[in-house]
Amino acid sequence: MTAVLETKGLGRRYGATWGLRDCSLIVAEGSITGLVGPNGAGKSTLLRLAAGLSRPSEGTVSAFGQPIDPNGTEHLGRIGYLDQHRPIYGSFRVRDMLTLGRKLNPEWDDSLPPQLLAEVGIPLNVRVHTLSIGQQAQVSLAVCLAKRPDLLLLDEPAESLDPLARQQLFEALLGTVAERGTTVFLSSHIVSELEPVCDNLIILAGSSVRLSQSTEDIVATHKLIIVGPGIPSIPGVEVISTKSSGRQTHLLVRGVLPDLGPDCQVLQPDLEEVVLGYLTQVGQESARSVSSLAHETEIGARS
Amino acid sequence: MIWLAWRRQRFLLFSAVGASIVLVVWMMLVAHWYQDASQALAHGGCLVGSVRCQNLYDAGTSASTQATVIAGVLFAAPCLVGIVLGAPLVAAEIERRTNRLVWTQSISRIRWLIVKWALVAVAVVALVSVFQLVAQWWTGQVAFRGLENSQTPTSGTIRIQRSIFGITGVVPVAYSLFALVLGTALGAVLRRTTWAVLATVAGYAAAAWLMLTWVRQHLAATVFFPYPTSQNAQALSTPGPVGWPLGFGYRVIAGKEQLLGGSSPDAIVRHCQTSGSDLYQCTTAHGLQLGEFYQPGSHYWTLQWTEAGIYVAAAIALLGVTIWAVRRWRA
Repeated sequence: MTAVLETKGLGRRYGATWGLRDCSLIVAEGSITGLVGPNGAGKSTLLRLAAGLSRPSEGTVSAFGQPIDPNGTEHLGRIGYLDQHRPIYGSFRVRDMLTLGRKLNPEWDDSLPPQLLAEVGIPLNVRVHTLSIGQQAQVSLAVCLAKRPDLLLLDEPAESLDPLARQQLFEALLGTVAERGTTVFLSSHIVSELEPVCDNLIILAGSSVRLSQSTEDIVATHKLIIVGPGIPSIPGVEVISTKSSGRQTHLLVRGVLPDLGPDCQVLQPDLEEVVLGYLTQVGQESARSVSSLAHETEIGARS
Repeated sequence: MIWLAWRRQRFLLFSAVGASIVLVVWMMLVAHWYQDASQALAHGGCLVGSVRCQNLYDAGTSASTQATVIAGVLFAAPCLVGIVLGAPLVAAEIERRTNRLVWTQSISRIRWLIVKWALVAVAVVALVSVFQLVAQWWTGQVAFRGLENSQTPTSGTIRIQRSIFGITGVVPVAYSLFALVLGTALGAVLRRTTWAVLATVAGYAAAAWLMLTWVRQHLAATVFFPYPTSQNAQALSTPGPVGWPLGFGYRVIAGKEQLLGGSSPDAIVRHCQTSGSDLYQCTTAHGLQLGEFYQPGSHYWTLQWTEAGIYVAAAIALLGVTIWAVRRWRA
């Protein structure tokens, strides 16, 4: 497994608070890796660092084995980046957006965007601000894809899109990257959105990495145990989160379960339940996610 | 990148050209009205006290008032360049986050900045250069407040005066370039167009005020115009200083230093002013020559090029600040 993107102890501070801290992860070549976490977990910060838009306060971020220098040009041609706000020049016609891409990228694929946009019925001669949010997202994605990047960073690409637009967007994305073997690293705070798309999942919460595994393994290695009141000690497994509801306790555990006897009910959690378990774990550790949520709002208002 | 810079800026640049054309037409009309009225009045085209005379006089006054307004617009034009073209150049992209779009294409953000800025800078320099020629012609056609009608505006003695100096010659180009970079730099540092606009106005006004009140008069050696010491007819008929008057002053008469008697010239002037005796006689008796300092018309180009040089140097420094701010900015 070759790492296309690798971070080590990566941290980014905004004033006195940390947007991301001690983040070490690997995105494998050719994979479609999902980055999931609550609002304010540092997903956007991480992706901006990876795109060379931001600069680490500590640790390193490297792509294709080279550290990313925000003022360097080496990584620019190889990384495609779609910001969560999907910035676009509203006064431009769709055609102008494509000209922009062609003029600024030597590896530009001129035939791809018209084809992608025709499939979803977006004409080239209309002004971008007259398009719907979903159509604008398609234009932004088309520009990203036609750049022919080796690594595609997508920050909440489907946010605020309706289900149909979301489906169309992912279809356009998957169709193109599968052909080229492009590595995709995309974020979302909705697990169900990532599940059908991703091979790997990285859970980011409380501004650091909680889990990084293939989606199949995640489901296979976790179990949900329902027991009576009180938290039992189970040898050989790691308890991820506990939830007590009066007479019952729900435990999300990781590892190979020993035989627990008839008092315990063992269930197979789905991906969403596992992710929620990890996010709850953060909540139990401290009220950090709340403070980081407030912090993100503040950052959002500032940036 | 040139394509993108042009595509992004073309509306503003066309608007700037359009506004310039409107202003030029207005200037030509005002010059025409003023010339008409003043020539008719000068050639006795009306009977003194008649309605026609009054009308001509009113027309001349109206044209003169409009000319004053135009001179004000010309004076403020470089600052407008800074506000309209400079301040949003980087700040608007950061505000709308489109910098994140452009900075993740295959060109470096510094190249993006330089090309974008250079396109606007070239357009501004070209436009202002042409405009300055129009202004040069125009200031010879009309009289506006702050000028004395008896002097021919183009003679060089009057265009060195403050009301004309800043709107003709090479300084308008330098002002515009400076204002453009000031706006761009403040936009890149403050990342907000509105703040950048306000700061540009404040910064430009401060620089202009500083230059006008403190710096410009020292850019070339000042000339001393001695007041006549004797009250004879020949002395009184000597013409006064022509050019930019800088105010009352004095000089120690060469070879008469011993008359000061160890007092400072300032103390002597104060003493003479309060002693009740004749000021001229008193100061002359103490070895001082009264007069005034001024910048003669012949210093026009020295002042122009030096002042333009200072503004261009400041613009280059501010461009450095802009590059620094864009390089370190974390989107």
